[in-house]
Amino acid sequence: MKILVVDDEKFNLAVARDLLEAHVENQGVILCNDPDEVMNILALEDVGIVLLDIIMPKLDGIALLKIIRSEEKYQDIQVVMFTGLADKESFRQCFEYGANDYINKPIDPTEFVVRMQAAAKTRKNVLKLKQTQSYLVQAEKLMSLGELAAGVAHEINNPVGFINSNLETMSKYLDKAKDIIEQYRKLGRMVLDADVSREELVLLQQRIIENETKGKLDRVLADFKPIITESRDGVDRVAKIVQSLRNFARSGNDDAATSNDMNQIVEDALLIMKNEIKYVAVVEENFASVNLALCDKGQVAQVMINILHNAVQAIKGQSRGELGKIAIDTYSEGEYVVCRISDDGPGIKPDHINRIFDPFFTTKEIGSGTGLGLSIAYGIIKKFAGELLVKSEYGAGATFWIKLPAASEAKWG
Amino acid sequence: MGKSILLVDDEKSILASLDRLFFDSDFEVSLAESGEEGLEILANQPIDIVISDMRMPVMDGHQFLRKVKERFPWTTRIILSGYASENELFETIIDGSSSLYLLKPWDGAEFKDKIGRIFEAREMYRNLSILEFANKLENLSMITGVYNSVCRLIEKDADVSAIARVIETDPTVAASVLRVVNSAFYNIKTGSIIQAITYLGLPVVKSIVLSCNLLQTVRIQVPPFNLSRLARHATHTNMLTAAIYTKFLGRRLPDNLATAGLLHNIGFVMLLHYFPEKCKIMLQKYLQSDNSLSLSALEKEEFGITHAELGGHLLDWWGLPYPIVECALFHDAPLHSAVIETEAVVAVHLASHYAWAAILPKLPQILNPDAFRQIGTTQQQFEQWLHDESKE
Repeated sequence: MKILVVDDEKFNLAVARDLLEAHVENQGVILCNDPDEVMNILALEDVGIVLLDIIMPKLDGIALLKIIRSEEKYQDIQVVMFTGLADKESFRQCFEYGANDYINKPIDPTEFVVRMQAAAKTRKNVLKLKQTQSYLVQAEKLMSLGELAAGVAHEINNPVGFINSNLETMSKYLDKAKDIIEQYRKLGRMVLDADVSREELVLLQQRIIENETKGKLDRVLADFKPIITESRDGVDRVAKIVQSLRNFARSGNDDAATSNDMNQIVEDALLIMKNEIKYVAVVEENFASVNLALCDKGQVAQVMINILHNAVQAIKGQSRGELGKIAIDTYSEGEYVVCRISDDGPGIKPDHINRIFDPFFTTKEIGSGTGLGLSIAYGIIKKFAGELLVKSEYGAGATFWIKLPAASEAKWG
Repeated sequence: MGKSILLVDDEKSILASLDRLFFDSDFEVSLAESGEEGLEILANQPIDIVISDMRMPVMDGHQFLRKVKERFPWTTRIILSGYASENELFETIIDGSSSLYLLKPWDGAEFKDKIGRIFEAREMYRNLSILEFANKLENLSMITGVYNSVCRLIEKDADVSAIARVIETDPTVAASVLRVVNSAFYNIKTGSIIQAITYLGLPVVKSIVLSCNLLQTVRIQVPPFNLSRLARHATHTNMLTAAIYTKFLGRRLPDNLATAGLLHNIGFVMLLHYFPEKCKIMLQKYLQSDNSLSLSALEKEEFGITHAELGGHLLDWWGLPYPIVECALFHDAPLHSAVIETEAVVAVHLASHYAWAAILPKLPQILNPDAFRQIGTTQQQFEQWLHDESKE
């Protein structure tokens, strides 16, 4: 981390450099007496702290401060104002535009060193915090991945369970059927044999029928069709799940927006959430034929899964002894394609609703959620120039709107 | 005795495929698509075994089996689960609403085989003569007073501190629970019941309470047996069982068997407590016969039942998991055809034998020489290991 000192007076620069090099942890002190150069230096160097003179020719420090803070990537730089001004108005302005501290001129070595050391320490903490946040975002992603995997596992487990069991039964059925066919074949051969008397044939026929009854052959034969139909349905179910998983995989982490069918995204998300929802609520789907939406389908599905998961948890928490309701509608609205998800769960408390998209806001117990799910969802929808909205009447459920730009509008609009 | 099974799952295809498994058996199978439907069937016809899915809409498997336990306590209740967190499954085991769980996807032959074995075992520990016998045991609930209170609290979802307080109301029980917890086997040093529950989990502490509660309340006056010897035998068997698992089976003793050794001989303790005089005569006969008479044959003759059957019966009644019931029921006959977890029963069998050999060396004890092979060793190797261990 380097420290950039901006001042039009060479003397001040020299004093600052000596003090910084002797007393403040750094990876280089850059001196600059031309304010116009500052943005170039920031773009090229890893600058952590800027010490900024206020009164300079051409461009004053406050204006420069504004420019620095206008860029997203420079929000975390510590800016310390270097000033001989004592008027309160410029003080106020400095802090309003995002200065972190100030140092008085002329330089008092003790004050200078202490304040710059503090800035260095703050900068370090900010970096640490950033890192922790990105770990947490990663953890949240892994957690939703884990939930997804668990849901899919269960969804596949049931069909695999009965298909497998049916196959085992089928092989038993076949053995039984084969056994009886062999006996009939023998009877056939005997019919052609002139030496065999009619009494013997009748006797054998009776024995075969006895064996059929004993082996429950009627039941076996009657079950041939159902056992195959049911197993096939099971295979279809697994195939569908695999297909929707493939949709997720294909989209990956791509941030590029492509045209996607919003209804299909809902279907994919539902397929994966089906099992979790099934035990808690009935889903009412009401899909309109809508324009394609500009987004990444995997990430938008992740948003839907998150909202559905919250709805399920909320309804479950009520333990009401009957199934809840989740309604999903899609429709077009102006240049947007909208997906609306409403549940009839407990709703969101009025003093919570403004905070639910805030990072780390959670009403769950400590340890059971990172509080990042909805804030990440919000980030995803914003990234695709859409909107994520929420309304709730406390006690009567919550509604979320996922609005994404329609492809035709956004492409040429 | 008929063999009737009730299968409950919200998915029709699962029910149909399970039903098919039994198509050429003599089991009577009933099917229900929900807990409500299942309860209705139970109310109208006798059912021996209930197998229920865990996740179902409205009434889930746990709620359903809780109701079944309340209203039809003599059923054997099994959870069949695909994915439910370990926690969910654990809950059904803690409150005794189910005694066993099977996993989806299942292997048809194995599934059927297990159910068959459970029926076979049921006929041993739940037949008419044992029911009549158990009914005659007086003040049974007083013997397990603390344990009963703990169970009631667990059923009411009470928190851990409330459960700990109940255990502490009987200082002798609490002390002996802590002694067991602090013994080498569990490897925990604590003076607090709450901590013991946190470390070991409720199911384990619950069954330790049962064992301690029993051994604190019964009176034993049948030489050479006394309370301290029986208690030592129980803890020693428990420790040995775990050691056998690590040494010969190469894995930790599963949690659901953590108290199998402690509880396996409960039936014998009860016979000694309730029928000291008869036991004295029986033991005399046994010792004089010089191993020509088996103890279980003598018990059958005297009581109509064996101590192993009584132990299995009571443990089942007290809501312990099936693997523990099984160890008690077959600890003297580990290779019985009805055994499901042969390794566990063999381990308890050997542990029990060698525990007695250490405590009462002169007492003749049952040892099945084929048991060693089941855990991949020989008698000689096993005894050598035991010898080396005891030196350490």
